[in-house]
Amino acid sequence: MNQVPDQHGRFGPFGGKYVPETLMNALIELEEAYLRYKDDPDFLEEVRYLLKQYSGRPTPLYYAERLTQQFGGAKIYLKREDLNHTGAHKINNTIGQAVLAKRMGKKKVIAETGAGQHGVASATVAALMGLECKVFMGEEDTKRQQLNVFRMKLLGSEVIPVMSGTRTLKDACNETLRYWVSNVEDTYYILGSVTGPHPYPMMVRDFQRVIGLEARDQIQEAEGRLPDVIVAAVGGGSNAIGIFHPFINDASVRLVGVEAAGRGIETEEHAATMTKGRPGVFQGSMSYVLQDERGQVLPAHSISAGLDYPGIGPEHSYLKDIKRAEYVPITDAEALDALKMLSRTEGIIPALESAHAIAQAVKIAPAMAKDEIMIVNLSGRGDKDVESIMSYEEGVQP
Amino acid sequence: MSTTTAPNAIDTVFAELKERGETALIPFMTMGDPDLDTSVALVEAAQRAGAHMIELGVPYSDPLADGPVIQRASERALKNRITMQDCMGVASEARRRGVTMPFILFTYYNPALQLGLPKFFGLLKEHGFSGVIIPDLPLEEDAEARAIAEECGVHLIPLVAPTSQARVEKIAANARGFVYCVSSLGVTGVRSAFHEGIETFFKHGSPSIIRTDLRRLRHFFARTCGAICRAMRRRDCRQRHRPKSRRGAS
Repeated sequence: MNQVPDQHGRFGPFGGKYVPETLMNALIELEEAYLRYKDDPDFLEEVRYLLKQYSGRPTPLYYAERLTQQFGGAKIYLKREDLNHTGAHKINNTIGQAVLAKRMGKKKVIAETGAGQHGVASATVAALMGLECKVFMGEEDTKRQQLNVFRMKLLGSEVIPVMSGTRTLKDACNETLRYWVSNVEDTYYILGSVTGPHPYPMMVRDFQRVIGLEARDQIQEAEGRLPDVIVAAVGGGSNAIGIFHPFINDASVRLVGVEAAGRGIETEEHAATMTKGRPGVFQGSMSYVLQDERGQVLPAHSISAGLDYPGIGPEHSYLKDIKRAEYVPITDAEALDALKMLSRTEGIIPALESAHAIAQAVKIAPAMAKDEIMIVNLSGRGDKDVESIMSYEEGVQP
Repeated sequence: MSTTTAPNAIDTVFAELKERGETALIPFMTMGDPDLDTSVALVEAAQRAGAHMIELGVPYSDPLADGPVIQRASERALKNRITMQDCMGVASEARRRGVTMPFILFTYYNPALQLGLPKFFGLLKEHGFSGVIIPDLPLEEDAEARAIAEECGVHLIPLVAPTSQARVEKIAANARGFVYCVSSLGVTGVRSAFHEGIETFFKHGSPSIIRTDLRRLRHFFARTCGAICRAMRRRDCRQRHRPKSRRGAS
């Protein structure tokens, strides 16, 4: 397979840099800095050290025996990204970018956040490295995720509620880009997913690849071979690309991305970008987008604030079109059932995002042979979601 | 392409203004806010008030180069389900009512892309547009649009920003019509001062712009705002709509 992206940040027809001219030199400067440091031994050592000593990597690849028995098919392994410092895979990326920001001499960082996981991960590394941090969060999400708002403040970051548009992740991203346009000369933008303009989709992927690289070694050690299937939730797609990427050239490994079907893909309330969207330009790159026939971006819906996003990273669009990965929808209700089931079977409360992956995993596992192997990326822990689950339950039960 | 086609109206207006030693006044307005009829009336009013060309904005769900004033204008227009074709229709209707100044469409890239670029530029030509500004289509991504624009005789107007530095030369070298100089670091909106160092920016920018025989435009905030407010008052829309000049540009 060809190396993607190319020098223009293209994954086939997807990706690129569709941003206002004001940001172009900042993106070029970022790309140059990243290319300069990405193979620099000192840079890599600092990132590796922090991932290990600060975040607690490597995360375990846990054989979920009771879950496997319950479904009677493939052996299910869970990649425990929930055991990272701050409770999700997001910190893999923020550590990498904060070390880069420091190398670039930036003292101020900004970040967007949906569920608050990336915001907390950014606030955390900002505290660690003495950087001034502002996090943009949709006003709607600040209500859904009050605990994370408070965590960010405790960590010394400023949380800016975004009042425009949908007041969720989509508009938090717009507002962060707008702020960056105004403060581009001294501010580093820590983008949280494999979305946005080049070089972010490539750089964030590279920082998240550690998930797949570890999983590859761990499954070889445990089973002596590669897995048959890898399942991961997809909003913007950073945890999924992180675990998929080191396996892309292994044609025998089936890659399954799980997107949020919200109240159902037959309704208007979902975030099923791959199932219901079509290619377009949104927030800096060409990719699949949920949009109407006029090219206006549609609001997304998911019980999970982290998947509540009408776009997806360009590399996923590429993997879909070349048929290397498949993307399937899981509803709010299915995700919630999976969350409860995993909590009771394994004593692990997954994040609502990761619960989408679990739901898909237990759909396909029974049809697989007992000697087949599946890895599910458990991208985050569910503590942050307890309150929204409670209110959802109250809403749907009589 | 062809040397026999009529000159672009933007170039003609600049040539006339240059002869008279005047600068161009180019206001902006979002189409369909509060409604299409008002938009047509505002275009007429802008010409009467002395505008030399006008930028007609297509409302978009994610206007990331725009500040709160235009974001809200876009939101209101989208509530009216205003389409690209509606916006273009404002131009042809205004033309029918005797507006002679050149029209420039302002749109984000995705609505144009979804129409299909050949269809989009064909419609621009059909509705009498002389130029188009696409703020999220930088030099690196505009090859296809530029080729089709050229074929249709519509100017694809590029932007330069205070952060553009060495890019200014490259951008101006391919420019048609004029170069849109973003005068502030930031999104559109009302502000009391330009970006620090704007003087150097213009000094840096102007040689290439002059070399490529293009003129810089200056938006006169007060004048535009005043003229449009007067027009709005005549239509008695004060309560619903407080227009402000937008583009932090010149």
